[in-house]
Amino acid sequence: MNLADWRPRFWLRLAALQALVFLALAGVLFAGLYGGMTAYARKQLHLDVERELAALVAEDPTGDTADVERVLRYRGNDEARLGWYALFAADGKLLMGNFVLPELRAGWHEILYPDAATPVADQDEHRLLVLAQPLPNGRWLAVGRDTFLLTELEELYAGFFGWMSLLTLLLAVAGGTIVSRRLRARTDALRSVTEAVGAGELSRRVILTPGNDEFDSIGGHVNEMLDRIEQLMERLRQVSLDVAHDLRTPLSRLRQKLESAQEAAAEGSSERDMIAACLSDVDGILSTFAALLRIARIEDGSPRRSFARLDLSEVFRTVVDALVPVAEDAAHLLTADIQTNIFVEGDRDLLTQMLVNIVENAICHTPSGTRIRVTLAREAESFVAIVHDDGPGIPAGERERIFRPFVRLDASRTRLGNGLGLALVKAIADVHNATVVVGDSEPGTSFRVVLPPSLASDSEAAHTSAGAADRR
Amino acid sequence: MRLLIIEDDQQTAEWLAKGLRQGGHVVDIAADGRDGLYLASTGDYDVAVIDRLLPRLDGLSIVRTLRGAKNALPILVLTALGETAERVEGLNAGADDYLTKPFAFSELIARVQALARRPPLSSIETTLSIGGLTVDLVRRTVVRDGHAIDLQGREFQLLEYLMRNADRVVTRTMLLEHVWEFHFDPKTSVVETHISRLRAKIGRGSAPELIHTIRGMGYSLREPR
Repeated sequence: MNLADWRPRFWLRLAALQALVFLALAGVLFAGLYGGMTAYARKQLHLDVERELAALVAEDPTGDTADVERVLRYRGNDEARLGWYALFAADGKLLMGNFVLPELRAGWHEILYPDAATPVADQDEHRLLVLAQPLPNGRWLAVGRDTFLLTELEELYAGFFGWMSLLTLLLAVAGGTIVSRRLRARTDALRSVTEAVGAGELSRRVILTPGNDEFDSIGGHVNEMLDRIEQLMERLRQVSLDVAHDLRTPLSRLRQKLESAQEAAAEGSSERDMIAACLSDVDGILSTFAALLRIARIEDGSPRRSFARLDLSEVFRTVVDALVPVAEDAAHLLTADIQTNIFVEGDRDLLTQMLVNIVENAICHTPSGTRIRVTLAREAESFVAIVHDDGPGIPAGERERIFRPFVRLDASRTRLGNGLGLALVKAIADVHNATVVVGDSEPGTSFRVVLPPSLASDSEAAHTSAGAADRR
Repeated sequence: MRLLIIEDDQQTAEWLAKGLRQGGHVVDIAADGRDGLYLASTGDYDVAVIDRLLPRLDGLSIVRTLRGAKNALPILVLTALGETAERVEGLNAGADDYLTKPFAFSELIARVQALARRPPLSSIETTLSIGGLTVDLVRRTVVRDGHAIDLQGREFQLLEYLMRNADRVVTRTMLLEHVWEFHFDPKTSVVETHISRLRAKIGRGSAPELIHTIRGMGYSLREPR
């Protein structure tokens, strides 16, 4: 599964979900508020109308409606037309007032005024809430209220709700982004460490925050796990080194005895040949052990004690000169383009061996007729060495693996070498703070070693004596 | 030759002594540093073989003490690890050569012989000559039976080293160290290849072979018998 693909989607989904929930909550809240407020306002309006009607009826205890007419005449002149009143005869005819009812019936009416039948000067449209009631003398009294306040209130709320929704959405998105960013930063911290450890940086650890939260708890466990892995790796390394070291003495003695036996055996006898074969096997084992111990010594950084300024161009020249005839005998063509006067701080023996191992690797693992080219050049601040061959090449998936000890792409293990040559190359590059990679080079293989400028001192600088071994 | 071996590992010391005695040499063994230093400074030896790690007094201290006392005894130091730092340290202390353990007896005897008969530093030879082959070290020219031979830099160095050690066996490792400064064992046949090229260049028709392969040991440049 592609982790890089999964990660952002997860946090994005989380942020979106959070925004949605937030928005839904806000919606429910506003809907409730809206419903409650408008219902309340409507109820107030009803109460208002009921009270007004009751007050008018109370004005007229005699039942002849004269007092009501007087009040209506006065109120009907209200310019603001806040109050709507109508007095109807028993047959429905409007006696006085400022609106008509389409149907005479006791109770609540909602009418549009003016309707098509009653053109008036006031062209504003009013939605009226009207309460009608029959009077004792058979007339009808109706009191209305314009509902524009209600409508305005509803519009106000609707607008308010709209803006608030937008704000809520923005806040939710912002909040979601911030939360997901922070979560991602925390998970990224974990991920970068596990990735680095996976890539071989066993000493990396998760940095814990003082907050001591869930992530720190996970980080703590990851760290414990890494400690354990590192211990196991170190123990494994130590065991193989101990084996190599402890077996050296008995093997050396075995070798001595074999040599004595060889000396004692008659010249040309089969015993002598057999012993010679045993000796060469023992030498093979001893050289593997020596190489293992050598890599371990290089990896712990001890060669740095004897680093000195050296002419890398000359080292390269010597190695190429030594190997040109060897390559020729193996039907390979070895050529070189080496820039002169490249000086670096380093270990001459190790840098020599590094180049020899890389070139020999090319000679031994490519078919006859392969061309091998060694170049050394200054590139920006660094020094770059490239060993390129136009052989069959190394599959992309194997390029990292070949630097591990005992890895041989030739599975039968019949070819030369103990599988430590390139591991040694890697160790030597590392101790010089150089990088070594197998590059993409179609066709063929290309080893690229980059020596950093910190080690690479300029050729114009004064030569330091090679005896200054104990620098650092 | 009279040889002194300072080595605390009894088995190795006896193995060395046995082999050297078989070769007709007189051998004394010291099992620790103090005894070794005593013998080295009082006895008359041609070469001393000194292990680096010794009880009571380490190998390099013996070398320093001897050199401090202007004792020019040729010294071969044995080391467990052939690291640059250790080698440089050993040579700086005044050792003449070093050998990394474990080693083949032939390697040790070749090195001991090379040390023992080293010409005094004062005699500076400018030409080396053997069996009709003459090497002029100053003009860097090579002549065989009157015919000039054109050698490249490394080939010249290889021939010079073989000439300087004429009649003695030089091992593959000695050649790698002295001619190419390779202090490790290459996988490919660097020495064999160069020797064969050199042979082809200095060989002239029916002229006798000068560079001889000593099976299981190395090479030797000598006049045909």
